[in-house]
Amino acid sequence: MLPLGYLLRNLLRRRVRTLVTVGGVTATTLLVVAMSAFADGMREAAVGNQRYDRMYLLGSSAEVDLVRSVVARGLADNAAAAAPGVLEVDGLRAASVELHLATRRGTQVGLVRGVTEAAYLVHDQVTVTVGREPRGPNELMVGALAAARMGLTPDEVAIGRTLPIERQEFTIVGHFAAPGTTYEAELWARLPDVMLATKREDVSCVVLRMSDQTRVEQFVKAVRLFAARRVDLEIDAVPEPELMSQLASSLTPIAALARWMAVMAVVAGAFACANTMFAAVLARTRELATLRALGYSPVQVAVGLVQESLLVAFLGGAIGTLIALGIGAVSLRYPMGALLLEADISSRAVGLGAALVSGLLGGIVPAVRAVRIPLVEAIGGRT
Amino acid sequence: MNRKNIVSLVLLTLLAACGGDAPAQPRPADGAGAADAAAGFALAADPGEALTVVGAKQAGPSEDVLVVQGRVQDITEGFAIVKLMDTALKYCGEVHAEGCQTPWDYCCDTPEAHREHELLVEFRGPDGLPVETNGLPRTRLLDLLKVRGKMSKDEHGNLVFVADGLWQVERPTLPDGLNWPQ
Repeated sequence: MLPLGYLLRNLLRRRVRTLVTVGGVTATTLLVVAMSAFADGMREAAVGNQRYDRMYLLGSSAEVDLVRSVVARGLADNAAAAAPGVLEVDGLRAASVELHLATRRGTQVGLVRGVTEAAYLVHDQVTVTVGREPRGPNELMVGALAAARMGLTPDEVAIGRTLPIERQEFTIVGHFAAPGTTYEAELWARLPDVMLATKREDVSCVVLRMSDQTRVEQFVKAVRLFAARRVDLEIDAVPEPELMSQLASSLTPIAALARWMAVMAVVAGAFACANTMFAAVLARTRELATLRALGYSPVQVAVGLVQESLLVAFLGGAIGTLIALGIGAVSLRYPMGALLLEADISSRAVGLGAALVSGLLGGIVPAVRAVRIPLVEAIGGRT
Repeated sequence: MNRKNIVSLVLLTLLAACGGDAPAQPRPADGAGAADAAAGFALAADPGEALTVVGAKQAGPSEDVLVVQGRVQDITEGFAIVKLMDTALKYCGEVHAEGCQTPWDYCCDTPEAHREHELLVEFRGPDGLPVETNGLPRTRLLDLLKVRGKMSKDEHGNLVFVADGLWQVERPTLPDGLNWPQ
């Protein structure tokens, strides 16, 4: 093997070209990290809420579509009161009657959830971070990503400000967080206020949370049986993972596009490395031939060149990974919600891996070309 | 740059890539391979002349043994429970013979029409509860079935046909390129 010091010296001899290539790989790494984080964020947005201990009672004609689901309020209340296996805390059943709707504010769309007190028991990932939950008429609680979803500034969703929902002004009384879930892009208000504002007499669903975490299968069966037999309630029972898989499937094409862009970035990075290494090979034809004349095999010389390329790629990847870590989380909205773009461990690993792949792919072809030149011609300086 | 610096850079990069895992969540247990308790409901012969779903509903609860014919509109997962739809209501594949991506459902009709034309059918065990099963024998969505049993009404006013036998009359096929929903 060629000594590491020799490889490093060669890189430092062509400082500017090496720095430009490192910069290119850094940009590649950042792009791959961003695309990977975006794709992961989309997937997480769909399955982040997903809990096996929750079931949805939807309107029987809704199939598994929460948006199309309609249940008469009275029937929803009856279902919430009668569903089996539901958690109960201090006399409050974890059966949340909810109305989900999208509200427009100019060109932006806000996701509103009308809830009762039971919602906080059912969706226990939701934590009030500032202020309080809505208790009085036309009060609103804003999710951590709701401002990003609606294109609002933090000041516009400050406590005490108002937001219109279907032409009714709602006063913001609290902020909430529910990391990694779609809840964070939502606005929560009391169910009666949302029904009044939208002039609706029906709701979207009833969400149930089970009482015994060790009996998930029994809970799912019992609720399915309940929904099937209570024809009068006109409901279907759907486990939350099944419902979320529908959302996931709608986001899959967007995530796939992001991954393809990451692959394209890797190819671009490989070209950057290849360009550097071709230049290095061309400038050092005689030197590389001398190494072979001294007894280094063509494979050893080729491996040395690939190592040079990998070293440049590693430097670029390391810098890109560290920059991504330094940037932290960024809010981003998508058609059905919003997500927090965060360079987590897997995205950073993918970014670094992509940089190394760029270096490997970009180093192989020039290296092979360098050692395929006949030794006599190479010593003569012919390329 | 010496070897020590390179090692430091590698370690720094690996540290930057480190993080924690999300907390585990409870998952449902694997479905037990329960013996198919519903197999015995398959009738050996055609049970004979049948009422329509709407006709049977209009007749109301009765101690008489009836035979009712209708299409399978829904099968409750894990239980010997189906909803039969009166054949007077056309399924989507009958209405839109070509180009319909969900020919097995009745999404072209209103909930009111569904309510009027559908009937809950339960196959119960000795305990009086619907039999737990992985599927009724040779039954899938849209099958035209005859079910034999008695019409009853539960405490909520729902008509329930408590069946003890079923007979498959006809099975529609799907157009090329479409698969039955799993």
